[in-house]
Amino acid sequence: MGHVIKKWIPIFIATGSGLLTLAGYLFPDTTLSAYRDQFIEWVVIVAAFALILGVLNILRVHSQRIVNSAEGWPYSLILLVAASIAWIPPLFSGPTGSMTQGILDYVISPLGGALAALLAVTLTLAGVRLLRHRRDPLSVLFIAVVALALLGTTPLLGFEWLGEVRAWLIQVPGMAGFRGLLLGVALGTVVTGLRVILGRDRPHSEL
Amino acid sequence: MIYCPNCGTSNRKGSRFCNECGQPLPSTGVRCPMCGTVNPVGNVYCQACNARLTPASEPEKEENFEEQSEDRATRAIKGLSLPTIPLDETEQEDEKASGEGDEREASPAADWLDELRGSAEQSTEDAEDDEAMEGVEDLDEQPAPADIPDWLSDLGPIDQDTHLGSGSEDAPLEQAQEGGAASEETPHEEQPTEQPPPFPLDDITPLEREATPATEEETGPERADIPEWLRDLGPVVEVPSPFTDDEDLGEELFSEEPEPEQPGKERPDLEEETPEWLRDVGSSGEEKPELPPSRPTAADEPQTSETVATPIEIPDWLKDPEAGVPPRPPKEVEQEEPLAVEDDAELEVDTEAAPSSEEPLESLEIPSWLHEAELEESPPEEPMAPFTKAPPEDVETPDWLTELAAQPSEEEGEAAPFPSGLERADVPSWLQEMRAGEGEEEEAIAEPTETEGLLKGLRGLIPASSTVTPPATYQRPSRAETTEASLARAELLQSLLAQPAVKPKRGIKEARRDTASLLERWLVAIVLLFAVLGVLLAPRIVGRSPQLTEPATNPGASDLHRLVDDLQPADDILVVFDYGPAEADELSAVARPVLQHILSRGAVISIVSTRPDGTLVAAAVMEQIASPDQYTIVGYRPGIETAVSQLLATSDRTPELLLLLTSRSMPLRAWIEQASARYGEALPVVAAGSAALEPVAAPYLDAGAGQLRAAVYGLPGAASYQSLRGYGDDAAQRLNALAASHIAVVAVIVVGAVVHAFTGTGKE
Repeated sequence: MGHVIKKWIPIFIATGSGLLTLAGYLFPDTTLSAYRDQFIEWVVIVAAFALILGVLNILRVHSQRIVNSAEGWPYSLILLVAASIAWIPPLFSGPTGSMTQGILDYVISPLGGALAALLAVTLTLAGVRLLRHRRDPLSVLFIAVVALALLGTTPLLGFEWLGEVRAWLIQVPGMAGFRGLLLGVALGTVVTGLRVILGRDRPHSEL
Repeated sequence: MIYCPNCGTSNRKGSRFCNECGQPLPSTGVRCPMCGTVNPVGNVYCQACNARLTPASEPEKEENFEEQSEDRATRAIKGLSLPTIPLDETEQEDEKASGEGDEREASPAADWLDELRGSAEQSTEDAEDDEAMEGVEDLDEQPAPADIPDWLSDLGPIDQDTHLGSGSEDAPLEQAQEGGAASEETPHEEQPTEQPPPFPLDDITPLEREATPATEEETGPERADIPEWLRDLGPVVEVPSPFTDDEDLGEELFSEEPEPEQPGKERPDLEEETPEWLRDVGSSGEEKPELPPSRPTAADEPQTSETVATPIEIPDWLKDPEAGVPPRPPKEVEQEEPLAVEDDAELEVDTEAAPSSEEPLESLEIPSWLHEAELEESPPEEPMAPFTKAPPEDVETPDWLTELAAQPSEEEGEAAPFPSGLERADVPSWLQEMRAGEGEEEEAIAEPTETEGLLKGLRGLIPASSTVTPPATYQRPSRAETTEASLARAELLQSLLAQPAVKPKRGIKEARRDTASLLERWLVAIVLLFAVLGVLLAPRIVGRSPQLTEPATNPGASDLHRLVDDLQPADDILVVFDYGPAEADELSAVARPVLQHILSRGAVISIVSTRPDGTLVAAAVMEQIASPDQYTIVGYRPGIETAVSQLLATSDRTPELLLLLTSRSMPLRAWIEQASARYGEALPVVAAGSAALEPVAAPYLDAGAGQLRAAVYGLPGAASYQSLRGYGDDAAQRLNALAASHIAVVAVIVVGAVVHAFTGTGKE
């Protein structure tokens, strides 16, 4: 009896909810759309609780690292201290208050910008070392495309044709490749949804 | 179930202690001391093994003595009596007797007995046949002439009032047995309620049938008045029961029960009336014992008038003494039915198993006629002792058994030969080898004698040696030999372990490689830094910035600018801030001119985000370009696609424009898909993202799709939009710096690729 409950009750709920929500999209002008919106409302609430659980899990994991003196435990200590500090201002000034905005302007944004700048340097260094270990035509082609895309983004005066080359690269091969990627993602989403609805995949159950 | 008197818990039947509180539970049965079977309370014998449950020597209580005596007398009388009252009436009278028992018990037994004896003496004088009066005290009483048959009226005068009025429950047992007819007068109402119903005469045991006819032959009344069946009875009772009809004496006469004999009570007058055969039996000088409660027999069945008239034949088993006593009925039946018939012969059998009388068992009398018959016709059964005595001579012994007995046993030192007809079996060789030899036998005999404990004095019970013997191939392990070589190896290992760890020296080539890598990092960083800072700081250093590029005409920016221009004041514009602080420098530069354009159109901006930090970035941007009353930050919605769908579903009205500010593909795709699914083409969706988002948004921006109406990407798009708005100096300056960094990056990559193309190993 327990096995049946653990296996089939979640399947019944997932299948029913999925089919009802899907029907709400297929028939938007019917009552089914109301059930669809209601289910989506519930998902948002559940997702909010998932965020809270995620925060608590981060605190638990790093606290254990500090207690056990695991490797890199000082970083965990810094994380907990920073989280505690970032958690306090919204309590007094709200999520978009002045104190919270100050943390954004003077802490979060500079650090984010610095990481993005480091990404630029890292990608450049990777391009420099590409032919060091892989000496093949594809590597050369990759470097050529990168150079054309960069130079075509901000075409130098007198080299406006680089802009047209870049546009062609994005509109033709780039869009083709990305459309194929989107179609693959869409088909994968449809198949995954059908498997969940039909009970073949049960990510909501351990059985 | 047994309920605990202490806590009321129900326990299983047969439990001795409460399962809940541990208190002892009241006994619901009598446990047999022999087999342990639990018998119902009241059982005298075990229903499983027939062992006696109550001690035979236990003195009976005085207050129960009368009832027991009454019961015995009733049983005895009933067993020898004839059914004169129908069964139904008997049961009714039993019920009456239970209510009148107290009064009857209170009546003194000795008074009526004295009166009865007195009347018996008087009747003896008047009786024509004195012998008929012997042993028939009860029948000497004279009822009313109309009620008494002729044969009874000849017996003599009896004080009817005395007889009927006196309680007879304490009638002596001997009197009841001596007067078979009198015993027939047993008042049924005095019988215990557990008395079995009367039984048919066919079921009376032969001994019982044989008990009465002798009396008739000697002292019976006129044969004309006595039934034939009664004449054929044995010589136990002198006067057979003449009351075959209830109308002769009336029910009152039968309602009284003779008083059972009380121990120690003197009855001098009875000796004179005792018939000769009874005197012979009583010549031993012992009074007839009380009837012990023995097992009932099949004679307890109801007795009908039809069966009474049937002539009785002495069975063969009684005629043939060798046939022995007939088998008794099953024990269960015996126990269920109380004793109703007591005969001397039956007593002899029953008293062996259940003596309960105060008198010894030897005092049980056997009728002389039966005793003599047994002595003459049946040899006494001797106890079973087949190995101590020789078989009786009249028993035919088989030949083989005779020969076997004549041969000496093995204990006498000679092997007993096999009798004729039997041969020694051929023992296989393998089995012969397993036989113990002479030495083994001697060894077994040589086992030491136990000197202490319970087995003191016994020999060979406990083996002296171990039963497990080690295998013959077992060898004791020898000590490990240490050689000089092994010691040297151990010392070497110990010295190696004691040395400190030494890092291996790096090679020159590897050191050069590490230095080159470090230089590459610094070179790339310095080139990029100088490229960006050079362009940005050039106006302050040189006085003018280098013009590397200029904003190009962007079709996406043009489309977006047109859509915003079409907005009307107070139109609802939903702006999604789905980027964080790390992308804020680029995206804020893109978002800022578009939002300023929207605000300039008088539209109302609602800001949402599917990132926790998105609202914070939005607040920072909006503070720079708008007043708080021009926008509303709805907040953060967890769950990307679900949040978008929920947000669109909960909106009161359809927004006029949806502006997506993001740098990642997933939020862009989620917003485009959900908005298109819910609103279709009714909601124009535009995007302002990073330069990296352009290939991702290109499929939705295609004219055939129409899901994304317009989009601007990165600083070129922002510069193009600003140029459309009429201002763009700041964007143009940042665009030049970007162009310089792009040139630097491409230069570094190309130089590095060339260098590594010729100097690199080419191995992954």
